Amino acid sequence: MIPANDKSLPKQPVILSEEQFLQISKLIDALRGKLNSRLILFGDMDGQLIAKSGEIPGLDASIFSALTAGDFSATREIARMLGGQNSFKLHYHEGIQQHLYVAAVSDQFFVSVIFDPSVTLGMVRIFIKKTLEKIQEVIESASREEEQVSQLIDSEFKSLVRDDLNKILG
Amino acid sequence: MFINWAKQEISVKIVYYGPGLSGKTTNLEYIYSRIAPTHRGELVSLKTKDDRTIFFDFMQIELGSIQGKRPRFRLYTVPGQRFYASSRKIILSRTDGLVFVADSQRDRLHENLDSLLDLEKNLIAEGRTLADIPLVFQYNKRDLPQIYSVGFLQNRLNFLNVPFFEAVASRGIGVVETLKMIIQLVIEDIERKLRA
Repeated sequence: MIPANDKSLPKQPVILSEEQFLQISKLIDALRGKLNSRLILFGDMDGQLIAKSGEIPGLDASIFSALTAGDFSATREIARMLGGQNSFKLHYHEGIQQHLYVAAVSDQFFVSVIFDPSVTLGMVRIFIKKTLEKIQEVIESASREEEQVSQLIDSEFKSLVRDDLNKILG
Repeated sequence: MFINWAKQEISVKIVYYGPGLSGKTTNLEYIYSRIAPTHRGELVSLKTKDDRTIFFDFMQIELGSIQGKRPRFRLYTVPGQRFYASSRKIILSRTDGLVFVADSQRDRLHENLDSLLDLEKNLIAEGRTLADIPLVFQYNKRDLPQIYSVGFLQNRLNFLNVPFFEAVASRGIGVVETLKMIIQLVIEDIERKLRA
């Protein structure tokens, strides 16, 4: 794990535009092809799954993302205990059947790659680094939809959510 | 809160806070049991060998399409025990709403107060305060003999006068009402923030 600069998390809503989502989806699809990976997840440090490429039967990607974010958070505390305000930028877990490589993107998102032991770690590092740089550019690009965000929730939406909750919770 | 414009997903985070053994995990377990699998993910619990929460419990509720949008509610609990302070701080980060599960028993008042102070301290460290975040109180274990009156607990804990519910989480009493209220408050708060 490599320490990275720790920045305080933003308190504003995280909004990903349609274009950003499609670009990130394409990037992780391409990365999966290059690494012959079974599954790649892109999520935020709050535990929210944003995009995924591939599938592992029986694996709940939402829970996987929540646990990955928890992993980053826990090691952030470990980094603090080790001194300074640093957090860790990447995690690597070596298994028997498959390995897991998780890298932070701008302290706000992560990319999690599950790959076969036949793929060398060096190759994984190189391709992930390149993909992360591209994802970073996408994230930093302006969101065109921001102007429409204020219209996202209205009183009808609130009442429909209430009705739906009543239906599923009784 | 997270918004994915392409998928029209609105995802919010709600954290159940409170002292150890107050019933936070029990709340989630009941919610999990009440919702059909089509509308929720699995409940994941990171527990010690003694069945105490060590890091967090997590489950996600997914509503159907509403005005073309797909609301998702991610529910977390924090470990209540005193020595898991770091875990609580981590899980609390960027939460959109809070449920404070208080233990109504007389000998647990100090633990409730300590937990509430711990909550406020962690929020302040994040640049927020209790008054900034949608909050609901749940006075749990109302079926036990040695408990304080709701009036007393309101007076000692609910100084912001936010909505509250009496509960017996082990029997599901008050659990759903608490959840519905916090979701309603969170959505109203998001609407306000997005319009600001």
